[in-house]
Amino acid sequence: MTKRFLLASLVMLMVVLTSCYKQQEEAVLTDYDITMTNYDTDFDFKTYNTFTIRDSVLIISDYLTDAQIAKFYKAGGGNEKILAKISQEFVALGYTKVSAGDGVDPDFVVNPTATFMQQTDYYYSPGWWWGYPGYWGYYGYWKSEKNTDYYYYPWYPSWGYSYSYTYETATLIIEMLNGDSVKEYLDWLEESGPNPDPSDAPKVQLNWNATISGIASTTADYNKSRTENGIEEAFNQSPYLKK
Amino acid sequence: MKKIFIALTLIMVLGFSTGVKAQNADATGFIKTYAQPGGLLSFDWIIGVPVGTMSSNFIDKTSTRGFNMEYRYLFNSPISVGGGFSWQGFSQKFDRSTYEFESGAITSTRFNYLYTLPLYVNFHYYPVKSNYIYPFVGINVGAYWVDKQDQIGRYYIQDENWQFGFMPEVGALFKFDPYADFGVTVKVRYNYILYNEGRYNDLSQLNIYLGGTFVF
Repeated sequence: MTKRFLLASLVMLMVVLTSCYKQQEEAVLTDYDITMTNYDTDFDFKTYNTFTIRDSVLIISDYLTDAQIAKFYKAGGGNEKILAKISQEFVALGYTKVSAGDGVDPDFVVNPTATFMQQTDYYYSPGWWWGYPGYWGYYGYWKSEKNTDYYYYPWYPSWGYSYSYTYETATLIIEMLNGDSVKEYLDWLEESGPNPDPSDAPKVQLNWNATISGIASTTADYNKSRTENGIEEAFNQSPYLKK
Repeated sequence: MKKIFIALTLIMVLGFSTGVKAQNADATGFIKTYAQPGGLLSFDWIIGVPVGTMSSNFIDKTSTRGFNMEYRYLFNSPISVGGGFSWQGFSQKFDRSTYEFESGAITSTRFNYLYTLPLYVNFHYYPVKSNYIYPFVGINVGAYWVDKQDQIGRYYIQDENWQFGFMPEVGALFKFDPYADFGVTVKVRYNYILYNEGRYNDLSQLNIYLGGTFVF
């Protein structure tokens, strides 16, 4: 009796334990793409008529190679495509695009910035409880950038193992800035000489901004279509942006 | 599925096999293998159906990932006292859509996760004296380790802490062979976790337990 009982208990315990490890919902890369917009709720966007867009997308990166950056800025590259796509969206809303040579002070300035950052996250597996790390897939289980604590349970045994892995993010930030405030800032920059004191800088007025963020894949076309989709989503989210 | 099949086969084999026939029927025909002082040890597979604010605001998908292990000590009266622990995992993926907030909006895919580990004491009452079916009603009360995650895109908010909870319960132990020291258990518990944060008044589920019980 005792032997059979112990054996049966053990077998059943193993069956239930292995059936119940922590499991992630299935996901593809685009599931992690985020498009977010923020706006000044007191501002009436109908008061704006004209806009201009910076001549190039500013890049902030800790992993792009010089060759990759050069490719981004070359004719027909990512830079041109992003600028064209954003302009097209604003024009479709009824705003008029002006250039520096037109002699018109734009009502708002569009400032696109792209950040390409590497993220390192930690993965911890107690080994026996939650199954195999491979099960969670390549993208595994990560913490937000805001919280770098790795995952843990209070009872995990000390003989588990952990490892870290790195992934590359790409984020496009589109800012809609008040034209007069940008002009004031540029004038101040020009007047204050080679060493301007940042605390004296006039404040640039931000009316709207969009953040389009995802994990970079190695396929350029895939990244491109995700970026374009993100730009469209940003404008779809913002029905108040109408001339 | 294969694991469940193995578990069920094991339960059936043990349930029908004849144990030590030490007890004889009394004058009323009742075989004292169960309602006498002794222990009951149960292993269960849990199917969890979210209800209440958990279902409406967090996860409404049924979970089949859960197990329970508990012990009850039967006094020489239709009452038992014991304790146990269980583990349950709930998860749900919500297709890409847009969520508005006060000064903007966000578009992404959402994933919600809930993992619970209740450690509880239990009290049961057995109203029927029978050789084959032993129904019971009971209450389980305990502390729950709760790990709750709200994920949007690749960002998530995790809330891990201890909560208080209780589970009223009805169920029955079925013995195919009154002499066997093993039976099949079916239980239904209403699992109420006192979780009162944000959009939740509670996290509750209707849980169905299917398992085996050793009588000794």
